[in-house]
Amino acid sequence: MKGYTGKILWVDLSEEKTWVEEIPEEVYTAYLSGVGLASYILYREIPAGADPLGPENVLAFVSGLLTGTGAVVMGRWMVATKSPLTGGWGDSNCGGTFSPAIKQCGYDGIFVKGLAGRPLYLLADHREARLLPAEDLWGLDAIETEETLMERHWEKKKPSVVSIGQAGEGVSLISGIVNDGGRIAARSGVGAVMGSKKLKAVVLKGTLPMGGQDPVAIHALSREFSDKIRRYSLPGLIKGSHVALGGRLLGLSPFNPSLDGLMFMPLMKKWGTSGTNGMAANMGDSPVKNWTGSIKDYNRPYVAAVDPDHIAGLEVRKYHCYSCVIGCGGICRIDDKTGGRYTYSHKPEYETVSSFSSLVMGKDLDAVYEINEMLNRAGMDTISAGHVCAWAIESFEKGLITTEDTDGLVLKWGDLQTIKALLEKMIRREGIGDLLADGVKLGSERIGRDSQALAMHCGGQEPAMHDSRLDPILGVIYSVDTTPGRHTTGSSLYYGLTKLWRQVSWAPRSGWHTKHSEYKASREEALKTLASVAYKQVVDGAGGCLFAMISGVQHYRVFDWLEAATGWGFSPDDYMHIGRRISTTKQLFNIKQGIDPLAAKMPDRMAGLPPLTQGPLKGRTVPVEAMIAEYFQVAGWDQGGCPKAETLEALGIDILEGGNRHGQG
Amino acid sequence: MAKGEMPRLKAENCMSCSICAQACPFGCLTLEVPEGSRDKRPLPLLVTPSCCTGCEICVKACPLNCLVMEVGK
Repeated sequence: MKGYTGKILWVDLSEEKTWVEEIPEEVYTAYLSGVGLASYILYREIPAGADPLGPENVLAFVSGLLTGTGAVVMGRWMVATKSPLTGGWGDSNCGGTFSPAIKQCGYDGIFVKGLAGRPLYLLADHREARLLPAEDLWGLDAIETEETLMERHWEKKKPSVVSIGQAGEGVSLISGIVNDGGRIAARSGVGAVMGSKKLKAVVLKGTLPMGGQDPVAIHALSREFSDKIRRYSLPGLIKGSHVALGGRLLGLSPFNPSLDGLMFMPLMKKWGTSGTNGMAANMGDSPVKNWTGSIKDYNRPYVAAVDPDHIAGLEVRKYHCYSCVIGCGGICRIDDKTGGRYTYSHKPEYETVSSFSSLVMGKDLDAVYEINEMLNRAGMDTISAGHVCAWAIESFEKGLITTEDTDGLVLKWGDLQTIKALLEKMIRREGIGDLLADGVKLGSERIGRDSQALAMHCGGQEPAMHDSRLDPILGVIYSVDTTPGRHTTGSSLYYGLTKLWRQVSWAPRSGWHTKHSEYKASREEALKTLASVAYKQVVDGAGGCLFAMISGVQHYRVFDWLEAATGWGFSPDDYMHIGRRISTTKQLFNIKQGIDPLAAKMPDRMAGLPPLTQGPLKGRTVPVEAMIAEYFQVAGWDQGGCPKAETLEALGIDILEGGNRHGQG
Repeated sequence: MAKGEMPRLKAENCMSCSICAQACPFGCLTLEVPEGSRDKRPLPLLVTPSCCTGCEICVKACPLNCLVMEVGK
């Protein structure tokens, strides 16, 4: 075993049939597994101009190459498809137990096409795959669906279930796919694709062994990383407010320090991503008031309101995804906070807290718990939904929409009870909720009246809770990554933490530097961007986790794990070459689908045009066009974003011969 | 494998990664927070010892060497 099974499962919902395709080894050596394998198959299979909600679109569930090999923090599963939000490449990444479950059925991925004539769910193990009627499940939320299917199919081993809630059933373009009681692959509108196919759930209960070529070496690397994670813990006297103070100092500093990413792991262990709530707000990372404000607008009361110690106080157990030794998740008891509506919930992630706090000027964490659980159950992306609400409030404030449009709702900054009512309407597609359930781009176009100018999105995808005015590389990623509007692909911060230059020959060193130096278009910043993008494709091909990734290549030794699992004899540069190949294939996918690579450029507001007048980002403007030009240059793409012929040759993308490449043929 | 051997957890090494539970083909292991746990971390627990065949798959799967085979009590 080399970490992959060499097989994928195909499901045609129109024909209600399944079959297995064997994948040759050269595909894995060219694309790894995970999102790389998906890029190869989806480029090959989805015809140009396919309707994302039609039968030709393919919804891929993929595992990572290192998942199940004994490598730790390698349990992410990914969904890839043609995104109905952007019309281009879409993918989303989630933890839980679904990634190993795919492999234990004997596959590296499950690829679903066609449209079912009735609600169905897929049940598979290592012997067979069957489509079963799901009429009785249609209408249930994702957690109810998971519980029902668990009870129905749990014989010996606990099955793994992914499903859609009401948002996916209603083909909301901001819906996702849910597993493990509310963890959601939320981005790119993947839930809408599943809903359009009337595929309610996938239940996996295989028990095949998994593994890599050299388990002794893999385990040794895992022990080394785990020992470091175990050693670094925060003393109890360190509170959330101290971390927030650290963010304040970082915000005031004219320098960006060179930090060891391992120092973030104790935060993740203690609080999870919410540990950064106050820090992000204070340093200018959290977008405020639909990207128009700064922390100065409400300063200390905000930081106190979102203190992660409030959330930790509700935690009844830690939650680890499969193979994770960090354990950033947690289950909270929230019945007191939700008037008894919900008893337990995954603790809200930073993205969710910020989406329903800084972005909409909220300070009501109790309401955030309820919104978090409500949206997780419905299967709706909290980031996108938060942006829709922020846009609606600003539009209401400016008189572009009125109570006649909102079914009587009076929308105000910080009024989370009304926001909750608006979200309920979006989940049910009721009244204004029907107009807004497809994200801020379509929602604002439907309303019109110049409200589109207030809609913060990149090619249809709402950006994350990380401010591009703080992190210029992030602005480039938001604008021209193959999945625009996404924060996970790369940033100045991630680049500095991953320390790629220690293992990759062409990655520029990044030590202590002035913040000012990041706001210049240069070959060096472009190379950092390219390296971040390529490395993230490698990590997503392996099934790795972003949070472990930012501990740094010297700790989270992805290249070494891959070598131990495959024995291919590849160097880090070789793996980065694969990463570039995956990214370029996704770009070719977008071009094949008619996407203009420059059309998703972030709104001027997100680039600091005009700049903010107060707060840590005061006066900051990102020269995004010039940075994009430099990035395309080092990526070997022309100034329109099309990969050049010599780049395709250098990357060996001839493996796609026969496909519709580069808009030709 | 001696007759009646079952996996026993060396909890001090365990990082709650659940690789062992996922590897077990019989669903014998689950992760639970031990009663009185201060850090609220779930640890693998042999919920139904009778289902364990002593196959050692979980022991071999654990990268941190947290499981040892012992005769059950």
